[in-house]
Amino acid sequence: MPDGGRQRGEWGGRARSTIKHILLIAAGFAMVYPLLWMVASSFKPDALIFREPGLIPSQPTAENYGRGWTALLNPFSHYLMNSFILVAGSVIGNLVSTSLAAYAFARLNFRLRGLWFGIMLMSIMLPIHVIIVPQYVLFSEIGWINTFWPLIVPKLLATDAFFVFLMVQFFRGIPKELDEAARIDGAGHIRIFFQIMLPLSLPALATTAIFTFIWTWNDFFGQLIFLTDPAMYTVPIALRTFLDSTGESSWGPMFAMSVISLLPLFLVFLFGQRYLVKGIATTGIK
Amino acid sequence: MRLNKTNRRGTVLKAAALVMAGSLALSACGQAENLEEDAEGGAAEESSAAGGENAAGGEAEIRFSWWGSDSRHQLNQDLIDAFMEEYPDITVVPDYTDWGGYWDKLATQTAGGDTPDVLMQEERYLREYADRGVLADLSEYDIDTSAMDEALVSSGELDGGLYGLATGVNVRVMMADPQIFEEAGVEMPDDTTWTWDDYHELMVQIAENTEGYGAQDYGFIEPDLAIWARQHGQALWDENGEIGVDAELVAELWERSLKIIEDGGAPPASEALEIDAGGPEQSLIATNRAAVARFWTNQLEAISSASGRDLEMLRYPGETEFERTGLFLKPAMAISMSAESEFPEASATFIDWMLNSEEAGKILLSDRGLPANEDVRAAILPELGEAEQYAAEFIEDVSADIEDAPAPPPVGAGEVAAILARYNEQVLFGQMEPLAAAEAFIEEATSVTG
Repeated sequence: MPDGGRQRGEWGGRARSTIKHILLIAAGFAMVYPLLWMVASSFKPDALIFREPGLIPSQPTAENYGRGWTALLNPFSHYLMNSFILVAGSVIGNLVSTSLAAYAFARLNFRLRGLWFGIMLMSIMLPIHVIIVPQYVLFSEIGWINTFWPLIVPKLLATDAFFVFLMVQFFRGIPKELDEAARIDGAGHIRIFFQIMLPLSLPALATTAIFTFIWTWNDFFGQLIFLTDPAMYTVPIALRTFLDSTGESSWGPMFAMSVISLLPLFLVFLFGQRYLVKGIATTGIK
Repeated sequence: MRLNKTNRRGTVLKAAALVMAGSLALSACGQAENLEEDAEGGAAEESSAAGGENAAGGEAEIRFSWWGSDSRHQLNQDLIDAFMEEYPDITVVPDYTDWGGYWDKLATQTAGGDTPDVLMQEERYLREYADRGVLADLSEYDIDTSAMDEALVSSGELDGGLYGLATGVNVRVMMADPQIFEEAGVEMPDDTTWTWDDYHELMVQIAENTEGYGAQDYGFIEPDLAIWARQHGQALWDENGEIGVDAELVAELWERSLKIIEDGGAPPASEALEIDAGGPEQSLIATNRAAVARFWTNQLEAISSASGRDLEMLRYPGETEFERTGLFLKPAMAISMSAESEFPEASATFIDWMLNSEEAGKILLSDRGLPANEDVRAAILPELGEAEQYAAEFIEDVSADIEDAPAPPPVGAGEVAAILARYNEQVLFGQMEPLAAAEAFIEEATSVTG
């Protein structure tokens, strides 16, 4: 609704906003173009994907979806299921462990807290390639290779320092007065954590859950290393098996299955987006 | 105070119970998964401890690793099924991924002391793994190599041990699109006599007469450098595992590349780089935008089907121009065995069967290159597709003129391809003079191998 400003001002404002929108839409289109191209390619016959790189398929066909679904040794639903199991375990693990660890860092006074906090932050900076071999040796000794344990158990032990840090920052933004009031009423740490902190930190928990979902869903390297049996493969590894850098790659089926694999992410993002912004941007009290 | 304490303990217990319940639920998931998966080594021991199904006690479980795409995975699965039918007391567990992931995975597994029993190897990595003592000496086991070409078997021999057996052969070729030659109004060259200058002129001429280019001339130059060096009586790697080609010769190859780009016969460097990143299906020849491109013989089928044309194969130019011929038989890939394998005999049986049984040959056809075992090759020839039969004939034809096999590359040769590609880019983009780049390449290649 125009707020009754002068005609000229309104026109100027409208023109400016139109230009702004056109620019934004153009930039947005440039960003989303690869995604659109992938979706379009998934409806083209294999041979035409690179010969007709346009967005409109000249001979649209859905056969890539049928072929891709059954091309691998298991139907693709099997790999989706594996990914879901892994993601569920990782999300639960991260929610439980990082919130507990963050509470300790934010509210408990223990010896060398600052040092431990620093060490935890340093663990974010280690690239996976540095820790993968010792990890592999460890899990191999326990006999966990080719199970989901190496990918889930670390999450239960709060090894995702990024989320610990996120939660700590969020907890620090929750007023101390609330804890103190609860303590005067006779609540211990456990109760304060469950009845005060957790309900107040829903945005941070949601952020953790959503990011864990996305990152685990997209993680390739860890899953590649720890899962050896094709029946245990997750979506990213299954997708890679369509490709062969030395011979013939099944591009069409791969694009089709990639589109399907993106749907869960898309939905999670669609419904979780409002929490994401809150979880990252707010610090407890406005 | 005391009240508070008991209260706290109660809640601690509650929380602990929660965590326990959580992990129990998780382990239930895991259990279900465990039932589904082929159990790892541990279960195999259990079954033999429990008497197992096989009273002979010869039950073995071996892991077989390979790289590739979905068509190869399906073939290998069929292969494993056929093998297990014939040898019911040996279980083969597949483990596969794509080329890039394969080497990451293998390196990690090896570092963790968990190398697959039977694995696919590639000549550039063979020495690296053999030198670390990871691979078994296959000559100590009962694997028949009598039906294979001597030169091919020797490609897996290092320091007196046999660490990999070539599964098949490929030859580097120029693939040519006759239709584009025709559109350009240019005759197909006689590939037994054409020189590098002929090649240059032809490509420039085709580029002038058509919308596309003459050649896809850039990028993956390691085998091309090897051929170029051999034609001049030198070698990319000499017998001692050192660079055996001098800088002037490397520079000359680059000067030719620059010249062909400059004259418009090949795409400019920036465009070339983009195309190169797209893999074989997006190459110029596969998208009908160039007359000639360099590939291995086993890629004919993929490139032909992507291009939708009947491509022809030409020998490299210069085979009769200089001191000698440069082409060579390249082992497509090798099969190796882990030195740490729990079941070496079973692994050897599996390798022997894959290489020498006609049944395996009929399943694999030319997936691992044309079979190294010549009897198997002859047996499956009629079953091959048109492109593969053509490739087989071409290899047969070229073999007659191939003088010897190149020496096996040294440790670190896997990195040299990337180093060469990097200098190649710098030269094509004009950031380095060919001779300076050649000298720097030789120095760097020498420092990473050894």
